[in-house]
Amino acid sequence: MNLSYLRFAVFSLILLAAQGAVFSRISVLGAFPDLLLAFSVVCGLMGGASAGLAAGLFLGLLQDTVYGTGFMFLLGLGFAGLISGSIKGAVIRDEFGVSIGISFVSMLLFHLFYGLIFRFFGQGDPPFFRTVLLISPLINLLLMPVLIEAYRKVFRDG
Amino acid sequence: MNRRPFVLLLFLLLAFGFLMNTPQLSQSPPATAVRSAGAFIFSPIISAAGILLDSPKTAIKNISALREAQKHNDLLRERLRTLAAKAISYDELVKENSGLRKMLQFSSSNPYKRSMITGQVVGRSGSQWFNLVIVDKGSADGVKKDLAVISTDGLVGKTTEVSKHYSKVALISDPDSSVSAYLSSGGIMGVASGMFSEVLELKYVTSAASVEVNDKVVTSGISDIFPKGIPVGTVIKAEKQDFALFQHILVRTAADLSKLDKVFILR
Repeated sequence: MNLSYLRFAVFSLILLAAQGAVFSRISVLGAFPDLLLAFSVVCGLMGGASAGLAAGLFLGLLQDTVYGTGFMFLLGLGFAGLISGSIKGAVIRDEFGVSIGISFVSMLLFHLFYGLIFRFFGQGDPPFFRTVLLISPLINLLLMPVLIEAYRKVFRDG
Repeated sequence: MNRRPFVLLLFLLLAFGFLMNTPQLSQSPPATAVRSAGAFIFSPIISAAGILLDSPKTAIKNISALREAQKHNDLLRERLRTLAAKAISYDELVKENSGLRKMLQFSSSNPYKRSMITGQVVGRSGSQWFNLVIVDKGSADGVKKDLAVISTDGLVGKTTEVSKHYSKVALISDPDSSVSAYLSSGGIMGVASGMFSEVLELKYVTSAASVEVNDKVVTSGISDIFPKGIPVGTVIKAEKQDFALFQHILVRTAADLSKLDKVFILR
């Protein structure tokens, strides 16, 4: 078995624990950082669309299992990983600024995805949507350099 | 060796010195001139000799003083660090103590006449789209599904899933949560529903009802889950819309849902 997968599984558990115990309590203007979303996007950026999709599905499944949220995270994080990988594949350019832009767009689309679903069912209030749509991706961008480095360490042997 | 001239010279010098210091001659111009000349010649030499002799002594003294000062400095720095750490932990203890005192008071007053299980929030849903927390009390502690969860400030939510040692609590801010509530000022009934944030919507309040900003909203006690009178929040917006049957009322939650720590589960 490729050790990278084992490292990825262990790292995912660490992310889940850190997110639940620490990061979800850090409120910045009503939004908080989302390690699992950011890492799904990083996997898409660094490994391509299929890697992003697979990582997002796995991370989402973990979160759904722990919080009993059906398949909502599985769908959302898989979508975010797929989007970031697909845009990166289409853009090709490898500059840091481009990666940051793609990450922002992917996370924005992730929140838009949920926002549209919940709005469709008439749930949630507009100020909350604005906060989540704009501030959350910005906060997550701050995590990107660390998570990119973590990705390199997790998948160091290819 | 002939010592006579030497003894003579010594005698003359002593006699000269003695005369120079007699009260009569010591202030005379020749004596002053001689002293000045002596001072002019010998002062630099004495001074240089003094410096030369003193330097190693002073240097050694200075080095040891410096070492001593360094030691003191390190010691003081260490003490300062310890004191700063103690001050921080003291502040934390004061805060914790005040929180625990408040909880104890609340718990012993038992305002809702139900037995309470005190729990600690150990985890939170990782996404803003799902408002859940995990509490460290489960079926082993007597927790069941669909029990009200409150804090000292007001309503928090209800248990949705219970394992042996942990329970999941859906916060009132979750869009799937709703609670029958009334305005404590006028007794007007409505249903408070979550909207993800710490603002709830109080639905089904007719346009004819008089609702003011800052009115308090409490649970109605209609459901079996939430006993009557738990503070739900305060009205922050009440808007009557033309031709609408109901008002648009927003309520800020009484409990600070973003900083939940200790909660009570009502049995």
